[in-house]
Amino acid sequence: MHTHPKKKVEIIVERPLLPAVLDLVDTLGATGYTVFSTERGRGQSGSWKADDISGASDRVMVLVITSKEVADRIVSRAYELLESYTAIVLLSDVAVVRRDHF
Amino acid sequence: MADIASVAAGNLLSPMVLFFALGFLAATARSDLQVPEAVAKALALYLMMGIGFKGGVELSRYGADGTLLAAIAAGAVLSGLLPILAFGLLRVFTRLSRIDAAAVAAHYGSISVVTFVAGSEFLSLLGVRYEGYMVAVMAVMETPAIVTGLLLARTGIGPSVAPSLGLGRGRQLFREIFLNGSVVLLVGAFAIGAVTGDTGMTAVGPFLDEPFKGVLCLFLLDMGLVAASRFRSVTTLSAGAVAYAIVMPLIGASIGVLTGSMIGLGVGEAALLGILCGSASYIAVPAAMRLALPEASPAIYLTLSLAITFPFNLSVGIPLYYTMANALIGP
Repeated sequence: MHTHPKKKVEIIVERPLLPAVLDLVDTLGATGYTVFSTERGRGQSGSWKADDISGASDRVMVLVITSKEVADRIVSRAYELLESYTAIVLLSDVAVVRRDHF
Repeated sequence: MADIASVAAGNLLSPMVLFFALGFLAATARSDLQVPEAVAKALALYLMMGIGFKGGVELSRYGADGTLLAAIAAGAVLSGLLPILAFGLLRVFTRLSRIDAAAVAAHYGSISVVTFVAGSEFLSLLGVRYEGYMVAVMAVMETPAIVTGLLLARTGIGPSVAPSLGLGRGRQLFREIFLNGSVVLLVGAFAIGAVTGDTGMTAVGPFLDEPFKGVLCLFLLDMGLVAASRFRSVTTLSAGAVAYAIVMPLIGASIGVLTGSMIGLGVGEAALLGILCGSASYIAVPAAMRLALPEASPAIYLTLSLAITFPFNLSVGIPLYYTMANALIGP
């Protein structure tokens, strides 16, 4: 089957920051996104768990499939936005089947 | 004095405290007991809806005496000012940074709904009546502390943080602070209770009133689980910070009870005002602090508030603040 190269951006971010991240994804021209909730994890800032009542240390993951240009813009703006927050920003190459969806 | 001991012992052996202890022990022993996150959130909503509604119905039954406005004003002022005191204590007696201290201080000016609910159940068990409007006082006290905490932090930060708080996030922060879900639900349910009164209570009492204590126990079980898992990181905190989490509630509650007696509140209301001033937030404020003060460590403020202050208030604080109110105002 013929596939098309695209970029995948994954941003794992604290839940209170989600609206700001989605705002950024929308304004930079991505055609869509998917938000995943998470269970628990550990990193530089210690461990966290989704059931902490306050929800303040919850993390969510935002997945965006888009063109290289848009992905680059999202990654660099996400870096500026999230500099002082706990976050993970990933960029990777993927192949999609339906090019016009992204 | 024997009276205080029996009141305190009665509180320790109430199902609420025991279920909290059960959760705490289970998590300490690393049992796989869990309350699913979504269920815990729903229980919290139920408790806010129930306490708001019941407060509103009480208000419609007995009307408000002149102390209502004074109590609400006192609550707002105390919530706004207590963080300054808390901040001072933290800066003098601990080595917390200005930003961490400001974030912690905001938590201690704001309130814990579940501590209030446990306090009101405690009063009901003793047969002490309190005005329904105390729920409105609680709702009012949720946010001024956040504003004060942010101001305390802001005075020390250069422009490095300000630009990252762009316009969009400023709006989000405003929503987070003033349209916070718990405030909206508390105030809304209170208004609905006040408007519908006894008719409303007849209609929804079987859902909002009768199961209330049982649901509170289930929620406290979860609080116990969460507090215990937080408790593991207490060792990372300094002794000064841990002492603060016990001393600050005592000071705050004393100021609350004293203010209550000065503005002419009854024993029940003054005790609740003390409980509110002595309690620390762990739902509304952490979310606002993550957004507005990302540099402040959640490990500090959540551990102090959830793992030390909440259990302290639930077991010792509530009966103590009631005893203070009783001694000061008398039956």
